[in-house]
Amino acid sequence: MKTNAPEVNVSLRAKSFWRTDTRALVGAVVLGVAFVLVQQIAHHIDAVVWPPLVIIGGITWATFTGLITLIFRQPAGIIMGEIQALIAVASGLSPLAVFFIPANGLGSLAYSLAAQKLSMEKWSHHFIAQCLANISGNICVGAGLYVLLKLPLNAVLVSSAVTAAVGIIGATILTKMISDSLRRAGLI
Amino acid sequence: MALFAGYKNRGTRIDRLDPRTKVSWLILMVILALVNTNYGVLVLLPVVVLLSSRAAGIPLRTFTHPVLVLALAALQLFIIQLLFCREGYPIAALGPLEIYSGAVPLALTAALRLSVIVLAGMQFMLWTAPSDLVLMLVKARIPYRFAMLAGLAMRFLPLMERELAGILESQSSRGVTMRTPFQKITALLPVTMPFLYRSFRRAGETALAMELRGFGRYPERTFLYDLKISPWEKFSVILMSGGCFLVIWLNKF
Repeated sequence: MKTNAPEVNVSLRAKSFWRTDTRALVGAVVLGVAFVLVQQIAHHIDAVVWPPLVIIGGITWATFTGLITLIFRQPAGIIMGEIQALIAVASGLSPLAVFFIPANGLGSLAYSLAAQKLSMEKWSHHFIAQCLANISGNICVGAGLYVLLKLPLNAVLVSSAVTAAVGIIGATILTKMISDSLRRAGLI
Repeated sequence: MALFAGYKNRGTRIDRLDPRTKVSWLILMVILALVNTNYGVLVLLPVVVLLSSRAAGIPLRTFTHPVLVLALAALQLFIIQLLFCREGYPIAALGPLEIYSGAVPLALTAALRLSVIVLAGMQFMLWTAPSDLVLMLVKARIPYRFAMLAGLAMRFLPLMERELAGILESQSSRGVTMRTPFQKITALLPVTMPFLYRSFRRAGETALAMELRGFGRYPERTFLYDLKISPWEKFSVILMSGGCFLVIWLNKF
């Protein structure tokens, strides 16, 4: 009978929820810092295009959250998200930066739950995971729009729905393509 | 323009303070900003943060970039409130758009609060050494494998910024322009992808280097320095904590 121990290990790692090796932890920090810098560009573009909507920022947020959670699992996803959120608060990235703290944590956890149950080899799996991450994340940001900016509920719902929809579509495509290319490049 | 200048020991008395005192100051500023509704206090707080930074030897020009970012965020807040706020009574009409009296106070309060949080957060990062932050977290009984990450993030921020600036420069030399919003959107992917690949490579190399130096080999680790908080600092921490509770209590009842 043919046994292949490394294959078993890879499969177990792919299905595990936690990953606390040094590479995952350091990866979370480095990618968290990279995430802050990319979000800085994305939010500036959004501010020029149409301030109430965070289209580009939403896509980059969902892509980074999905990618890091998919590759480094938890707690790396949460660490990356919280590093981004705290630096965003301290750098005035967005008026809603305080609400990124729960949004990034919840979005990453939701993505992890889907990634644990699904093989993440099909487009549909990425789509489901992004749906969960975007909806949970945008609920938090929507709460921020309502509580902090005192926007009317209709405006909050429209803004959150548009941001989530664009984030789901854009990030599903980008996460799958980038994770495949990173795998091909041998970086993960 | 750099997001953060990074920590630099300027040899002042504030530099030598315990990080727990600095955290207490940050919390006090944030609570005062969030709980207060008095415009006088909200205007005074950013001034206090800037003056205390100056006392710590931090040049005021360090805050130029965050002030510009804050001005942009404040503009966003004003536009959003003018468009959507329905509090108060109509004071003006621009075609179909009615502007309500509650829009300006709401935007002003949010902008002032945001400026205090941002400036105090930035001040903390400018006058706290990454190593002090790690020691503080270890003192708070956080496992050192995780405590090290906060210091690592602070160290990596200026490095990664330089890396992104290098990629932006090299892409612009290849003809990628980022002047108009549309050009910026189309240039986002050619800039982000190499940056992402480099970040993954850097993460792998750093993790390998750390493991080769024995990171994570033992559950406990020793540090070259230890945090020592003086009685005066303890007293000031108690005073600031008391101030926080008093402000919350006075605004609640």
